[in-house]
Amino acid sequence: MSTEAVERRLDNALWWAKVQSAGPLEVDPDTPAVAGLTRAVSPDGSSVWLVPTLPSGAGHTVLEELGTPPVAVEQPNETARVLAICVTCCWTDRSGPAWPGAIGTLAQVRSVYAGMRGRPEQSSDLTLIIGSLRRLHATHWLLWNEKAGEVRLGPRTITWTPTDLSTLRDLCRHLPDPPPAVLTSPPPATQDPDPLPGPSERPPSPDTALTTPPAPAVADE
Amino acid sequence: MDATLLDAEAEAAVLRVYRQVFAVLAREAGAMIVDPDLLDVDQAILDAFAEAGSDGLTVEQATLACRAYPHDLIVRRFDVLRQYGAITKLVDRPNELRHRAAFAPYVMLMFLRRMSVQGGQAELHQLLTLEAHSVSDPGATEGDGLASIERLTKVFRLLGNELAILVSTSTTAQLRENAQLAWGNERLIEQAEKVHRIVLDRWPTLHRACTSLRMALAAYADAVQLAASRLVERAGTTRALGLLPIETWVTFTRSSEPEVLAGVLDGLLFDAAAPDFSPQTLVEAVETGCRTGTARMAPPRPTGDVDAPESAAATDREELRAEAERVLAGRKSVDVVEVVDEAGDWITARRVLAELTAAHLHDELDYELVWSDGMRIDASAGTPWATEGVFRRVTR
Amino acid sequence: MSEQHALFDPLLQDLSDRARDEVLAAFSAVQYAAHPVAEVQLAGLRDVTLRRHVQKMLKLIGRTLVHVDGTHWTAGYADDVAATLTAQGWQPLSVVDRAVLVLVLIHSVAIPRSEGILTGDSWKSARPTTVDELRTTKISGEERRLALQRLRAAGLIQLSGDHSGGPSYIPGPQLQRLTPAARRRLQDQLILAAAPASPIAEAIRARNGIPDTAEVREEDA
Repeated sequence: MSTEAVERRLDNALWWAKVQSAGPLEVDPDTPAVAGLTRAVSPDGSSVWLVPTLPSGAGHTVLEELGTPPVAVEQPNETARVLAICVTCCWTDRSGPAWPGAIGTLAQVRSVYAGMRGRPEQSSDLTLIIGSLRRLHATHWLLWNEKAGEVRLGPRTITWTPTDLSTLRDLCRHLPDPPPAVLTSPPPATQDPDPLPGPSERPPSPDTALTTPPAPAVADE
Repeated sequence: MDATLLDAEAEAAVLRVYRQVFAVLAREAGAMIVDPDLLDVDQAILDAFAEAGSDGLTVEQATLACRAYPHDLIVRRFDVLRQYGAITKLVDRPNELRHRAAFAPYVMLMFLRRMSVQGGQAELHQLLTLEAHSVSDPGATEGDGLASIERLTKVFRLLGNELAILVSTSTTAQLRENAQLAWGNERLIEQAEKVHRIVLDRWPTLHRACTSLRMALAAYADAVQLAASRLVERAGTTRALGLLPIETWVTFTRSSEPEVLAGVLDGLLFDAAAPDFSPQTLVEAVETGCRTGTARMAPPRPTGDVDAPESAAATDREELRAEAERVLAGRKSVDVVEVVDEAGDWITARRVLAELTAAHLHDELDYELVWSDGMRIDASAGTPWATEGVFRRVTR
Repeated sequence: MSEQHALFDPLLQDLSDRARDEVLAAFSAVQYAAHPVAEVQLAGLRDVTLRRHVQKMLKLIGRTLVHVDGTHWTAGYADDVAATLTAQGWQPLSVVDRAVLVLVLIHSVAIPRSEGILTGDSWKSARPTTVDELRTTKISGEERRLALQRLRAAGLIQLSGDHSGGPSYIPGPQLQRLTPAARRRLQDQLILAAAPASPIAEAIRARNGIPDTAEVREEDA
């Protein structure tokens, strides 16, 4: 193998390891392609998310058949419901792919949630919804801006296949329609989702991509 | 140490003390005990004598005082202690039934117990302190200094030899069991060097003996390092952790800044949480979320190491507290069945129970949810059957 | 079954359909199952040739097979990849998260080791670390709670079955993904941090100072 090929292989391996240890990474669009990492371009084209993809026949789907479950998600069903609701709210043009979709609002999510439950909103719904939004944000299924109360689909949704999307289309029809979104901030503001504790997805520039992500401050006692 | 012990000059007197001291280790006359529990029995007997005062004890009184132990066992140990002179007749005459106990065996017992905990190191520290004290005494003579240096030389030679032999002949497991020989060696060596310094300053003529001590100390330090290397070499990938005393870990966790603790993981990488949400998962979750109706599932219970059941407010402590207080309504505890019935339908009950479970599991909330084995079945209730239990406030 | 995968296809194209399925199943199981999987369960692990393919796939993404208890397999970061990334300052886990994880490892593994009550040679332990034990440190309650949540989501810790005194934690399944070299590194760094002046620490430094005695290759390739 040529030196160049060896270097490219090592570089691939390092990028994959970064994505596995931190989750999908937001990088500068100039970053060279990495084999197997799909590029999810942000709506305004200012950055690109690197999201791992696997050959068909690999991935989590296999685990269930094998009876070897992945690490459990806290409140798995509630979290999945909230993700489904966000798909309904953010995937407005269902003739195309889900990513990047449109901006949805917390008000929309709450409304669809109560509609799904078939009853008026209850006081505990909000904490439940917020908890799920945070969890989905931390794992890049959503980009949740808690300050603005606005949500977008996360880069992981780019891995949904056409078959997946047709399943989701049906699901969206099944859920109540969200009310119109009333955005509190002009669209560009959503480029900066509220950073939550956890592996930071702050966009590293290509040169600084290999630096420590900012860690939450440690309080003194 | 007790001056009376050290001052005993007559050979017979020394022997008598030795016999007394070692009585506690004697299984029967002439043999060493094999069961360390016998030390407890001996201690019980000696304790009884301490309580008895100047009247002493008869065998029967001793067995009565030690009735926590089998009668025969006490009689047997009493006999052994008597044969070794640890217990003697109050007055030496044929029909005397009362006995008294010597104090030396008790001192030895205390000493043995401490030795068994630390392998004698604490005692060695004290001994070294005493040596430093005595060679600093203005009245100390050159002979005292020499004796002190020679004693220390021997102690460290024995220590070093023991370790060196262990390193070269024993299995790693045996070596690990004796790791305490290597603990805290730095302070031991420091203390010995202090004695050495004092002696050499006061009596430069003792330089030869002092050289011997230095060599013994160096040999001990080498043996410690050798033992440590071998232990580390064979310790695999986690076993070397067991070579540090527990206190070291406790101190480390209590006194370290988060950055220092985190630094332990330098050079290691871990996977980020990456749950999968397939469209099929979403469909199923929504379907169950829409479902209404009566109970089909048992109430969630905190079980095993599975994740906490779904709770509506696990992310918000105050929300959980409010819900818990609402359910308790000022009471200290409330029956789960009542909570379930109060909720009306099962969907609601399930949510409330999930929140109570979350409150129970929350590390900063003082509530607990305790399930019992009973089951309430009532066809007319909103939730026909419910597991019994209580939710209550606790003080932690 | 025909989508292209730029990274893995060159490796998989020469395999029969069946072998390909076995390799992908084994790859998915070691990569994404929470716990190590039994070798007997999967042809892709039982069969040495297929396993070599799994190992090659893993190598492409900076991972390697890790043998657990002689009967199970999982995957972890290849030592050189972890070394390269961390040397560049890559550490997505925040300071607080790492500190809390280390506290759990000390209470659940190191202390029981000193008590001589743990057998085996892994970072597994059933000895729970209570919240009280975690409370003794300079991390606020809220920070600790969030860290515990994140560590659980990542499988780095798990709830112990014993809830008698409130929740308590044990090391999670992800610890089993550490290669032998990484496990030993963790042991060494723990000792060096807790008792830097001990003879054991000195022995570790002496050993590490020697030009590395070629870390034993775990699973060969």
